[in-house]
Formats: sequence, structure tokens, C-alpha cells
Amino acid sequence: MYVLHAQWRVDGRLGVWAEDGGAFTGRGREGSRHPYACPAAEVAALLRAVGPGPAWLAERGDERWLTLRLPTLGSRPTPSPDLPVGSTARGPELRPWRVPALLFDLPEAAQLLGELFDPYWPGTTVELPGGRAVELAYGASLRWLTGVHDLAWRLAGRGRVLPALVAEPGGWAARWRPAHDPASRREARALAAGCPPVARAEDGHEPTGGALFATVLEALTDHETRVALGEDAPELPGGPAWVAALRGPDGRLPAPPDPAQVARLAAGAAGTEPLGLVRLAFRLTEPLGTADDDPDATVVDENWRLDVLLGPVDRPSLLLPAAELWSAGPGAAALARTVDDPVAAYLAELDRAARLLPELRAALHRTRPTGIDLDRAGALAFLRDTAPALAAAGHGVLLPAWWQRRPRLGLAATARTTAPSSVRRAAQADRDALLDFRWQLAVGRQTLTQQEVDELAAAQAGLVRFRGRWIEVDAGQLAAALRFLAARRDDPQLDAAALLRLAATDGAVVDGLPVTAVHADGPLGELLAGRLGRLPGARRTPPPPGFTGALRPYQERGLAWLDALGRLGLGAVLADDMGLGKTVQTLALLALEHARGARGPVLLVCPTSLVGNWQREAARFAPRLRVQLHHGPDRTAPDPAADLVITTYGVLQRDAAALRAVHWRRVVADEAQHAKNRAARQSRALRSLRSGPRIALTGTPVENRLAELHTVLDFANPGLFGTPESFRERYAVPIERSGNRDAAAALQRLTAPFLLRRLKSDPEIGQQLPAKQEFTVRCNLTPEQAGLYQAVVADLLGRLGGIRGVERKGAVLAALGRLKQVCNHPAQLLRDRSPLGGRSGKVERLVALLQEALAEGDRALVFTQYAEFGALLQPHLRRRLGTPVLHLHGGLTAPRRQELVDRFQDPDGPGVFLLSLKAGGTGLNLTAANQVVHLDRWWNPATEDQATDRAHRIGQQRDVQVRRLVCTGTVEERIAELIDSKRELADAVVGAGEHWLTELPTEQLRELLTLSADATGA
Amino acid sequence: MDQPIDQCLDTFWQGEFTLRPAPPEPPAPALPDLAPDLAHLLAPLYRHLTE
Repeated sequence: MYVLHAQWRVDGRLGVWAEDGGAFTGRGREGSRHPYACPAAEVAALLRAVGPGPAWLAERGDERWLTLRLPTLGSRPTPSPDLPVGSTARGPELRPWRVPALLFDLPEAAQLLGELFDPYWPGTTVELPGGRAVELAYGASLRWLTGVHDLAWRLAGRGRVLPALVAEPGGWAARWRPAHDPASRREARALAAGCPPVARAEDGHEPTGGALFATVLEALTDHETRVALGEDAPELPGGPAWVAALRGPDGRLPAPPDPAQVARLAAGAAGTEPLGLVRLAFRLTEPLGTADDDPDATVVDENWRLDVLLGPVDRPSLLLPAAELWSAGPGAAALARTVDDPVAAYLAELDRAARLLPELRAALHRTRPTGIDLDRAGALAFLRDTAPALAAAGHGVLLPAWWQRRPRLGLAATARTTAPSSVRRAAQADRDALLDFRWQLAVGRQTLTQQEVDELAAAQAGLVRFRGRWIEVDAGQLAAALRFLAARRDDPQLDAAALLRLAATDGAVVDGLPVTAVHADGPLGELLAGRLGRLPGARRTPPPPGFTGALRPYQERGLAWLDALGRLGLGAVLADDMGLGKTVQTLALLALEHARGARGPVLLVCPTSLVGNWQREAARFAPRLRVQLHHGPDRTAPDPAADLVITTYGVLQRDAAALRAVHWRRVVADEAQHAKNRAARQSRALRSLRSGPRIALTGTPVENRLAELHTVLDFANPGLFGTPESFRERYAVPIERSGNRDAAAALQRLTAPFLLRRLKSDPEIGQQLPAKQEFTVRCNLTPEQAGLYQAVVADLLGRLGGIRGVERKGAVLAALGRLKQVCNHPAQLLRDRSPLGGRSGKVERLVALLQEALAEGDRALVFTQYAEFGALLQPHLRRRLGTPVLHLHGGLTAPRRQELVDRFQDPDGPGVFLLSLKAGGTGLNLTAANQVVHLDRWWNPATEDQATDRAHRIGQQRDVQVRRLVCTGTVEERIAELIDSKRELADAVVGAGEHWLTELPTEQLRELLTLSADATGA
Repeated sequence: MDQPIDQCLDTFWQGEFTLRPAPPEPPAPALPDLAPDLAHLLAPLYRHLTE
């Protein structure tokens, strides 16, 4: 009678040995040699007797010795129960015994275990050489290993395997790991729990059953999967390098894989749910380190401790240290009430976690695993890589609180107000203070002293203690930072503008190093903190000497903001809503600077219609400024002794060379959106002026497209906002195409220090303005209008079939214009000088509205985008209303325009003022009107709002009523609906042109343009 | 709790497991457990394993 045993050794080889019943009593004890274990040759003979497969394999086994810790009674190892030698005496202990064995490498071991697997018969009768028939029992250790092999073989053959990247003693490897289904998981649990201790008897290496099971199953699964794939497994071109190592016999990798790939595969293989009723949590505790009050900085403890805790799956709040499992404490008792075998469940989960944290395997090999110690590198790897993977696999992870908020090593850009003698390079902030700009090394927002930099450089990389906190230091990054500081500590490119830009940019990186802090004091610090301009509590600058008006609180804040930027040498975009006093704030700034002694001419560029306004406002509010008008055919050369030179965009273009010859103290561009087209000559002329800090004034920083905002920002601070192309790519496209809120927020942060925009709807400012009521007034077409309208639509739709591209766009735009003209009046389209009366529903409605307004004592502004229509309408309205009607359009000279404005603003002036939207829509102050009529729709709501604000502005005493006339059932009505939806976009600093209309498919155009049945009201 | 020595020895030598034949219903391959990009890449290997 023989009993065959097997041992899975720590080196991954299979040892097969046997007890010989015949030798049990016969052979004497020789030291630690097992007295009745067969010689290896006899083991080989037994295998040869089992069958041809084992016989073939027996030749390939190496004859070696195993040392096993076996139950020992007295001086003899106990026999296995399969050996029929009777009962044994009492008092066993585990002692090492040497047994002869055959050792098999993995391929042969797997094959042998497969050959010997038999779920029904735990043995066989074999015929030994010489014809002797003997009973051969398969010991439990062998049977158990055949069972593990059978499971591995089935998992491989059914594709229940997943790839993993694992660090092995010889280097990294790609391995196939078991991927259990519910049935195989149950089987695995039973095998792990039922592992016979004899299978774990290798001396000096006594793993738990679960650990041995996992080791053997993983090795065999990888092997059997490779065998099943065979030599003809398909190649997988194009994948990462490790994929190739999943095929063929050798899974080793030539180089370590990407850690992200390792974690990704490990997290997938570990599953996301606990196996049973117990959930683990891993708690990392930092070392005690040096005692704070110890002047000698004696190291108390340098080990990081990773403790394992556990609790019932359904009670996440109950967590016990694993050590309590083996105590009789109340925690263990509570756990035992909900989990049948807490220790087994704990070990199974620990085994699952060990897939992600191989160091846990060492703990599993101990009798009562409760946790492990980690060195600094291990702790960092756990914090950075393993903890997220454990959490993803459904385990709890308790990390030190500082890890989530750990500061990064990076650069700090700093500006300090300092005495002039102490700096090597400085910027003139004002007459009293200089700013010293520097790069420094920082941890989070804390800048480092030189001593700390030296200490950090001397310390090892990884987790380092800094000012009582742990931080993570990357050696490469530290070296790069030190090189950067050596080269660029006093960086000439670092100035106030760069500092503000760094502060506004999330994740700013300079030379590959993160900028973690931006510090400044003085006005720059206030700008950085957003404490200037906007907030009601922000610093205010009262009206300066030489300024004869009063400033409202928000205007005083605007003045403080303009002044701070100017003193830092920075340009400003003042984009307050129309009517909030941009002119007054600008004049107050010029008066303030003049009072401080600043000399040299300031150039103010504005539209022709506003020249007179600026001249009068300057005389009224800043009478000490010497003002020169550089405008009109008789203009003289700019006077260097003037304080303020006022010119127009047209003159700027014509006199570009002369104006470029002067170095202006400042340039102010009013209605700066006029220069929105970057390529246009006047825009180029404006940008080419030589000057100190620039100011752009605009009520509509974004009229149509965000590219216009870039042009205005770039005028004020050239180059600061990148190229038009980069601005378009980073902000304009994401915001305009997809309404990207992150991009919009980033743009707002970037522009915030340089662009100040207050709205009339701001609560504080709204209280100072009367109300504005808006109405859409619907008019019907006359039959003549309807006929013309249909003819234009039919003509367009008829032509669209044969044209495309630019020609198609042009045709659509032209037709849209003609339809709007028909809606106004047939005579506008026909240009036939025919009489107007009774032919246009809109004009009749306008007349009625104006008659009503005049009867109430109200006065009205009437805007049209067509100057020629205004010319037709003026005499008609004068006749119908019996009152003078003023008409302002682009064909008038500036003095004539000013004269009309003055007449209207006179308390006894005419009741109706007809204005072309382009010439009269901006800059003018027409608060004498309390009624505004928009005769035809402009595609852009901002343009209409701007025009409305001629009346609805500071100085208006009455509520303002705004009426927009729209012809029912026409494209006007449909566009009005679109404008309402677009207004929301405009509010979010987004605009869109009308070109989208031209790109609509013909069917949609037909829907948009076709006259509906209710158009004539008939 | 102390167990009789014979029982301890039986446990040592025999363990508490039972070998069973393979279940009749084979499970589906684990390919879908992979991220879509990897599943796509490795699909030929899984086909080769199971077909």
C-alpha cells in the first residue's frame, strides 16, 4: 500500500512523494529523514505504473528532497489516514521531516495533476515492475491540487480569464488570471477553505489555505490559458506591448508597463463587490516621526502602518481592527452574529485585496494577518496607486486627511512693493513704490525660504515632511524647478500683466512646472483678489480735484479700478452698460492723473457723432484739461501741449502717420467695438499708436462674435490674450459652438482683472434708473405688401436650386433685406417715390402710436436701420403728425448731428426724433425721450439695446417704454422669436452673426420666409 | 475549543474539500468584463480559447 502526496513548493515547482505502508514498521529512523517515505525512484515507479501519461512525466521529474512539517508523535511522523497502519498515540507536534520526492516544473506539474485528477476514485491499483500489484491511494494534498488544476483548466478553456500585469521576483509579466463566475467562485471558496494542512507543510513556508490556493490557481490558470491558446493563437497588431506577452509560453515583459495600465487591469480583475458578507477597510497611518518637542529630532518611528479593518457588508459604520477577530471582545461577537465564519470571510476578502496589493500576500502567510508595515516608498505607492484601486474594488480606504489636500511642489510668482534700492529689476508702480517681481519655489501656496529649498534638495524624493506636513516631492520636478530658478529668478517677462494672467489660468504651467501660487501686495494684490471695481465694498476713489461733477458709488469704484490698472502700466476695457457713465469715469481718471501731475497728451478716438458730446462733457466735468479737437477739414496737427486730443476713427485712418508720430500718454478708444474688425485699416491704425496704458470703452464688448472681444482686449493690452487664433481655439469655438460653460468661466476669469462691466440690471445700479417696459407690437401687411412679399420669396426659392456657396449666401441675404423693406413699406423696396399713405400696415401703426404718445406729452425716438427709409418717412410723419420730426443719419456732419441732439434735448424740443440705427444708436444722450420705437428688426439684440439706451440711461427721470414693430406671419416675426432666444446667449458673453441664416437648408428657409395666412389680417 | 487528536490529525492530512466533476453549464467568457477598447483588442484571443 502506498499513499501518493504532492506539495506545491514556494518556488512554484510540484513535489510528489509517497508513504510506503510496507516500510512503516520496518525502517528505522535516520535523523530527520522520513522513516517510511519512498525513495524518489520508487515514486517514479509508482507514477509509471499509473498510466502512460504519468509514466512519461515520471521521467521528467528531478529527484530531490522536500522538508515538510508533519504531525509527529514521539520520534516518528504520523501516517496519513489513508495508510492502513492503525491508530496512533497521543501528543503530536509539527516537526520537519525530509522526504525524497520527484520535482516537476510548471508545465509537467500541470500535466501530471491533470492526469491524476479523478473526482470519483481516490486511488487505484497499480502493477509495479515484477508484476506486483499494489494499492495506490492519492493523498488529500495530491487530490486537492488536482482539484485546483481542474478548476484552472476549466476557467482557461471557457475564457473565464482576464489579463493582468504583475510584478514578479524576476521582473514584470503579463498573466492570465481567473475571472470567476458565481459557480466557480463557490468552488474556489470551498477549495480554499478546505485545503488540507499537509499541502501547506513545506518547512519555512506555511501559507494559509487561501493564499496557497490563490498562488496555485493563478499559476495554473495562466499556464493552461497559454496551452489552450497554443502556438497558433492570433497575433494582435496595434495593441500595447504587454498584449504580445499574453501569447506564447513566456509572459515576461522586457520593460515595466505603464502604471495606469497595471491599475486599470487590476481594478477590473478584482471586481467591485465584496465576495461575501464581510467588507474590508484599509487604514494607513503615518509614522510618529520625530517628536515635535524634541530638539535633537530623534526618529521615533519611520514605519507607515497599514491596518486592516473589517465589518459586515450591510453595516459600513461598524469597523473592527482585524486583530479583534481573534479576541473574545464585543466587536468580534457582534460580527459573529451576522457572519457565520468571520475569519474565513476575512481571509477570502484579504486574498481578493492581495491582487491589488501584493505585499498583503506576506500578511496572508502569517497565522493571524492584521496588516503590514510600509516604508516611505511603499506608503507613497499605496497612496497614489493602490488606494484608488482598492476603493474601486469595493474595499474601504481610510487615508490621512492631508493626502486629499496635499500641496504640490511648484513655482510661485510674486510681486512685492519695496524700497527702490533693494531691487535689481522693478516696475514703476507709481511715484512712491516699486514692484519687485520674482519666481520662487512653493509648496502649494506657501513660498519656500532658501533654507527650505536647500533642505528639500537634500532630502530624498517621495514623501517628505515640510513645515510639519507630509508632501510628495518628485525628484525630477524638484531638479527642474531648481534649474528654472537658477536661470530665471528675475525673469524680465514676469510683470503685472503676466502675474494677473497666471493667477487667472487654471493649472498654469511654466517650463513644465506648475504655478501653484501667485502673490502680490498693493493695488496689484487687490486686483488679484478681485477687490477692485465690482464688489459694492470695493475701494472707491472720490472725485479728484479738478473734476467738477459728482460720481455715483459704482463710478468711484470704476475710477479706482481704472487708476489701479493705469498705475501698473496695464490697459483697461470699461464695458459698463450704456448710460452708466463711461465718459464721466474716463474724464474723472484723466482729471485725477492731471491733478497728480501727469502731463502729455491723451488721444481720444470716437465715432464722428460723439465728438461734440466728448468736447462738451470734458469742458463740463474736467475744465482744467486743455482739449484739442483733431477733426474736420481745417484740423491742425496734434498739439503736444494739449491734455486731451479728440479725434474720430475716420481721421485716425487718414492721419495715421501724424498721429503715430506722437507718443501719447494714453489712448482712449470710445465705442471700441468700431475697431472690432482686426484687419480693417482703422483698427490697424488704432493698434499702431504709440502710447502708455490704453483704455477701451464699449457698452457691447461682444456684439456678434467673441473674436470681437479679443480685438478689444488686445487693443487694451496687446499680446496679453494670445493670438486671435489661439483665443478662437481655446474660447470662441467651444463657447459659440457648444455653449461650453467651463470655457466661458475660464474666459471670464482670464479677462476679469482687465474688463469691468456693470449692468443696469445689477441691483445697486438698477435702483438708480427708472423702469423700462418692452413691448412687441404686431402689424399686418397690406395686400400690396403681401403680394410683393410673396414675389420676393418665390423669386429666391426659385433661384436657390441652381446656385450654391457664396452666391447662395449672397442671394439669401439680399432676399432677407428685401423682405424687411417690404414689411416697412412697398415704396422702400420699389424706390418709386410713390406716396406712402395707406400702403403699409407698419407705417399706419407707427403713426397711430406717435399720435398717442404726443397727446400724452411723451417724446419718442424712432429707430430704423435704413437711412433711405428714414428720409421717406420724415416728411410723411411731419405731415401726418403736424409736428416737427428730426432726422439724424450718417450723412450729416458732426456739428449738424450735435445741433439736432441739442434741439431734441431742449425741454421745448420736437416730440419725435427719427434716427438711423447706425448713426444714432450709440453714444448719444437722448434722455428727453421716454418712448422708443424700433421700426425694423436688427438681427442683433445688443444693437437694439444700445439704441434703446440713448433714452434709458442715467439722467432719465421717467419710465421708458420700448416698442418693437413686427409684421405678423412674416420672417420678421420668426426672427423676433430667434432673437429672444439669442438674447440669452448674448447675456452669457456670446454672440452670433446672421450668417447662420444663409446656411440653412432650402426647406428650412422656406419655412422661415414663407408668408403665413394671418399676415394681412384679412 | 480542543478537538480529539485523531480528528486534528485527520484534518491535517485530509482537509475538508470534495472533488466534483465539472458543472454541465459552461459559463460565458469574461471578455465583457474588460474595458471596451481592450475587449475589442483581445476578442480574437478569447474566440481562439473557446471555439
